[in-house]
Amino acid sequence: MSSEQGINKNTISNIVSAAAFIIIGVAVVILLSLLFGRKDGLRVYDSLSVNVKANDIKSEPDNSIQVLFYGDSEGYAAFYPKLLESEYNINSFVCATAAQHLCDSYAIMNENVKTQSPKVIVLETNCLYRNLDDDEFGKDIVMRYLYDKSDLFAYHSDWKIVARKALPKKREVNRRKNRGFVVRKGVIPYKGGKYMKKTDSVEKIPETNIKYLEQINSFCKEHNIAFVLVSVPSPTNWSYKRHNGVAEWALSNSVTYIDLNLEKSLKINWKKDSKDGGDHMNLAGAKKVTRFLGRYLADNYNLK
Amino acid sequence: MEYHLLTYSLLFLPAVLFLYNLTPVKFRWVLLLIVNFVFYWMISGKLIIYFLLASVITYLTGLALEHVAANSSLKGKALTKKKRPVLAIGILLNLSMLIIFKYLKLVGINLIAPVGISYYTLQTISYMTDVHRKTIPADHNPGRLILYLSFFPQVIEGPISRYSEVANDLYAGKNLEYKNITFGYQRILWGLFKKMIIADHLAPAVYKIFLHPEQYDGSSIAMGAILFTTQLYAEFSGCMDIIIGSGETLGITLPENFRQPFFAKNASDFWRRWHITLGTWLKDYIFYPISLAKPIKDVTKSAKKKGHLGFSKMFGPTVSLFFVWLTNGIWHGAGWTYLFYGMYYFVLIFFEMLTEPSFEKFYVKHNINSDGKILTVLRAIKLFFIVNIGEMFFRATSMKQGFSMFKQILFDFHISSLPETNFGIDNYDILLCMGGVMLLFIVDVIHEKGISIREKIAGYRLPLRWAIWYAMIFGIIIMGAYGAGYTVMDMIYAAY
Repeated sequence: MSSEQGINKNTISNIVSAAAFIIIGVAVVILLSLLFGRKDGLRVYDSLSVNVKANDIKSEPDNSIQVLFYGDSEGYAAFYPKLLESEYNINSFVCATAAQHLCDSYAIMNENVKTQSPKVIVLETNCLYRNLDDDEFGKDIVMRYLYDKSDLFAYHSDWKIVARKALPKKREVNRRKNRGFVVRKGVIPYKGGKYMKKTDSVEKIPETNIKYLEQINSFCKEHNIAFVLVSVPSPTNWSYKRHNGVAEWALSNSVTYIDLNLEKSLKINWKKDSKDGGDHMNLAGAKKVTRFLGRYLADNYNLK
Repeated sequence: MEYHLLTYSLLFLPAVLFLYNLTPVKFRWVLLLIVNFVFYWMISGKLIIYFLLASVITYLTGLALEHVAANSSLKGKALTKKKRPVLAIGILLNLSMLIIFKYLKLVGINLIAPVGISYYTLQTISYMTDVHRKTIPADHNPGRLILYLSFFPQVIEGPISRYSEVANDLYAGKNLEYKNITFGYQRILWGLFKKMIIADHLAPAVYKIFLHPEQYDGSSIAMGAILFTTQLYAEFSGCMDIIIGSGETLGITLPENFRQPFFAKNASDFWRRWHITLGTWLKDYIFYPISLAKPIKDVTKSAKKKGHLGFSKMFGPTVSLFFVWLTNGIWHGAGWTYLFYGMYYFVLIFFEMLTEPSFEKFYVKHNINSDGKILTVLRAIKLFFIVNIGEMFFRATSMKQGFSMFKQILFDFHISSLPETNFGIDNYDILLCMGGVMLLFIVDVIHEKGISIREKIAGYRLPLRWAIWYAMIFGIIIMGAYGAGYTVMDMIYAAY
């Protein structure tokens, strides 16, 4: 009897102990979530990149930027601010980041307008088809859930923001020198042939991205900024179906859309202008894209 | 569902433990069997049919071996000879599936292999051979045998256990114990630390260097090889911690696969500490059978008669060693780099066998302590080079790439270019990995001294004990390689 009581007591104590450990753990997660959460209340995907870009632009003189570029690697490989400045006297900055999600573009914009008053915002369209729910978690439903529900999981990498102050910033300085543009001189030709085959079928922009696109459009109107969508030449990523998807949204929302994949005057030479076989532009390709955009921006917007 | 996913450790495993505890003792093995099938179905889908086929072949071979023995008047060698064809058929049938799925790609046929085929096939062979050797009796209960072959924590990448080590424990339906659950989860946590803090942070750098090594200086390539070895050790041993920890929660002791390999004295000692269960499998089912084979014995005897004592002593072990390392290389996959990897260790261990007696004599003659600090450090440096060169060829995409990387290290090595190299990971992650590796080293030193860290921590007062585990948990949550900018990497050894 006494041994049974002992076992029961032991079992109860173990259960209480395990429950206390879990409850304290959950409480700490909740507390840390408050600490790691964003003050602006915006949901972002890559908090670290958003923070880096938001800070990068703060190093520019206030209200000096006329054009801001957003998007993913397609954007920072193709928009060349130095050229835009030297040839068209347009001051610009590239806020595109690797695999940028639309929520991040929106969060960076919100930060950017605190110190700048851009006249045009250019969004490269490849990120419109990056579904917010498509990520590396795959089948890990528990991680997916925690990432969605807890700011501690979602913004855990922010510990680097604290550490950043204590570490050398050499690479960041180099990036700022190019104003967000990444110089890539290498050439790997695209050998796949014609890729923009005309079709009426449409690849719809994912619903969540439509919501963010509408938010960005309203944001631009609110701040009196012209909103321009640009598709950079990229046989790997772009198609006529996607062109139709973006064009449909742009038309119904009266937003300017320029698809450079269809722009013959650009004279992209796929043997020389791609850095990686048709995915990104290299420096030569970026110059062609930037000159075209420079002419367009100078002709259509009052950027003096 | 791979073991390093939180869905496994925070949802699947707790659900299994909960159901296991609710199930009456005598039906727990049935529950585990169902769980094993569900788990295997989740990771391999319809390919479970090949696993079941291998299990049936193994079961029937065991019974057939027993039947031959029971119904024969023969004894000793004559009986062994009679049973041998039965064993050969069983092994060949299971091996043929492994060959079809794993090696037909050599002739251009690429098939999706059932998950864990390389591991469970070795377990089927060990079971059939052990029944043949009468080390264990044939199991008449197919459920218990399949339970052993399919145990969910080990079915993807081992450890390669023996029937005698785990089958009865699995079948017994042991009661869950608080200590087992807590200790098991503590080990899982340590495994997640190694995977998410060290291995997955290093993965992009390793990928980048091995993708285009020609773009790097020799010093960066050498660093790439070191990073890969570190990644592989942290990853594979980390996953083993999760696997063995999972077994521990159920009261099942799975065999260890790592024992501080970088504290080994030489290459052969390294392989007694690295992927231990593969090494012991190769020793028991390749090395000894070949050493004791009649043709080997005949050659040894004849050489001894002719007075070639050195040759007679070395011949058997050398031939056996060659086949052990040939099998080790081939087992890893259908590629020349794997074959080279096996032969690399064959040559190294062969030379160790040849030179070790002379070194021992030298130490004794000159009164040198072979376990002294200087020799220990020199041996560690030698092993460091041996292991990293081996892993570089193992990871290379081709022999050509492996040799060209080796050439760059030898003839284009400029240490000054190392700080300028972009390894594709930021400074914070580099610092984090350095800290993680340091902690791993300290833990290995403590384990090498035979101290159980978990037992030690369990002896601390509750606030300190909990603070340690919370620090580990929140360290992984905050600094783990997951989410934006990271890729949760698949388990490396699940691919072999």
